Amino acid sequence: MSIMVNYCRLKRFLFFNKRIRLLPILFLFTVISACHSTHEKIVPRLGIPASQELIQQWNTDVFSNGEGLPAGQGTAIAGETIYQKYCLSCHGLDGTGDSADELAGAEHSLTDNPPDKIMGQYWPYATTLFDFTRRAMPLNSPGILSNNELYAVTAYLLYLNGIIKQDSIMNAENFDWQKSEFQQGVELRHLGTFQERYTSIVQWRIQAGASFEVSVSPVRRLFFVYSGEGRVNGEMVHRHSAANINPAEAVVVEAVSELTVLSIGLPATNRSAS
Amino acid sequence: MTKHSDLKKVAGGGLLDRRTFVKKGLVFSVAVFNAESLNATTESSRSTWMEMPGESFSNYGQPSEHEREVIRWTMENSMAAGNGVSWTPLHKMEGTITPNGLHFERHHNGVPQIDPKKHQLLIHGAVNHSLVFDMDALLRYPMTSRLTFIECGGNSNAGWRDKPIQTVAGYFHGMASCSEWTGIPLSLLLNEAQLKGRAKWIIAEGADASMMNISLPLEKAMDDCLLAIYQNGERIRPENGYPLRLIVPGWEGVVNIKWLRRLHLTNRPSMTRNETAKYTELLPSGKARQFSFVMEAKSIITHPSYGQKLDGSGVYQISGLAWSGRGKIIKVEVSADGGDTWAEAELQEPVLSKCFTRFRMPWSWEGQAAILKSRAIDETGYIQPERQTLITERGKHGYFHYNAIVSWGVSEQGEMAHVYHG
Repeated sequence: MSIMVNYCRLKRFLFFNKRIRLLPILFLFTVISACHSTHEKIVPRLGIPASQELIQQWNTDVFSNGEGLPAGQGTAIAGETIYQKYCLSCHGLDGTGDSADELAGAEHSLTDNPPDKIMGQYWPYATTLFDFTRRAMPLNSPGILSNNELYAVTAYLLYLNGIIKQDSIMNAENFDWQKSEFQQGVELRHLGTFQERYTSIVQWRIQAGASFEVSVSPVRRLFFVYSGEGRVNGEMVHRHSAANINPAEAVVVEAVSELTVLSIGLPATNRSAS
Repeated sequence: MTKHSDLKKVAGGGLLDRRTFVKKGLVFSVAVFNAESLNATTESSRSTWMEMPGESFSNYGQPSEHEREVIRWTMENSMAAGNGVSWTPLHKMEGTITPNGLHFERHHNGVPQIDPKKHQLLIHGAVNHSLVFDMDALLRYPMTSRLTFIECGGNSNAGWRDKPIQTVAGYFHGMASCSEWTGIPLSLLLNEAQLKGRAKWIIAEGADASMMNISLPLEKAMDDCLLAIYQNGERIRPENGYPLRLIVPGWEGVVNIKWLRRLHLTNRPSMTRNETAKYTELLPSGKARQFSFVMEAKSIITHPSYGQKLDGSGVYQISGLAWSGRGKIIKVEVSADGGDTWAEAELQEPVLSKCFTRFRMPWSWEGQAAILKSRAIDETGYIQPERQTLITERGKHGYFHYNAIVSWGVSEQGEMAHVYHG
């Protein structure tokens, strides 16, 4: 009898107390969630333990506190030779830019119009410069530079930006220039205007509505300037340097160095899309 | 056939109730063929291609030869053919899915031709178990699919220029594409490796010649990132990361590392070139926005747009794309009077989070000069800004993350131009 009473009281309690009435639902939900998360955990677990050798070989990450920098060292003096051999053809004399980004020799500060986002002004860490060069440069043979050469060419670029001296040694202990000097800007050399720097300007007038393909010889020193009214259809310029496009619309193409127009019309690479 | 004068206007410049077509079955007067050619008589009741057997089967289908102009346009560095971009021709496409051969590309040093049998993924750093996976192993893991856009952080950057660039929509905004990506939730493999407490960032690296690397906050990696193996049902194309790509839904393209080979768990970012010198936005103060990962809400009218021409007055369908890296698009508004009045466009279902959303709006054009605009609003309440608003906030030299309202000017002759307005 007492059990019966207790059961009735419990039933009334459960019936009238909404929170308690939710319990079975909550329980069900918990079971479903548990099943769900259990289901998610069913993975084949096929990862194979990685050897320390593999990790060391693959892990080339460098951090701004110098972690990850390898043994070796270099100076800007040694770096200049390396720059001339591997970098000059794209990044130009003294890092002033060509078919690839300008790296040094800013004419404008970051608050000017336009700003020059060169290493001395816009790359916050010297370690970034080392890491990127080691990963990606030179484009036609990445990975070719030794650690000593990487330190040397990094030092040379920092020297070009007025951040370190020509005989400063860069290595895994001596790299942390950004805190004291990187953000302070450097004395800028005036490099002259586009016309002053490059004299062999070639013009080619292209009718509005046409697109075109060009080749340039010699291949380095390629700049295009658009001017005039109207525009080239789709503004497609094949094999130009994206970094050196002048934004204005145009029909006159000016190119530094010798220019050969291969075709007027849809560029060949895009025509053969079948 | 409904008379144009009977149509219900919902905003200035001739914008019509978005349900007009459904209700009244209105026919567009945008004539690709003229009535004469449609009514031309022929000697036979059969067209030429109805008089002989058609072509045989093909192992891999190709578009019609009449669609040869629907291609990516490419732009490479003059000294390095593999360093450049190609654009998705948004102005020649409809719907929301990008065919794999038209997905935009941004490569820093070419497309590696990877042998999947020799490809491995290494997970190491702040984990209890450093692990290596080969592709055969990864293919056995539970997968999931998600429709999501990828947009280059540098997409639409011509918008910062002082003069409006006159080019077709795809070569202005086409560094954005949308696919169904299928792969393994990244969290599954990170859980298998067992994260240590100090793991806060994850450095991802590709197996291309530039060894692309970026740093991602761990929260995002555990939230909705995928290790994608398939794109729109087939294995990912080489130019989009074959055999393994990190998909980071809603975040700038550069962090969606292609040819993924390594994930390094750390307590801080690496400060790589592509998160310091590039893919950061210089502000008027001389300081820069860094780790500005999310692609904010954007929309663009693709039809009609620059390069297309309105063929006489009549009813046209305005069509375009909207997307947001923060979630679902909840509304797209269209204006045909330069932003004086706006009307809500119809959104094509299903509207998915961080995915291209197609919007459409009927418009009665009566030969007047007009300015067409669209603005997207996402589920966080973010409203796509006017260009001047964006520039006031960020200046003109940020280069990346341009998402302002795009204005297309329509002349009385029906010609389209890109204009700055507001």
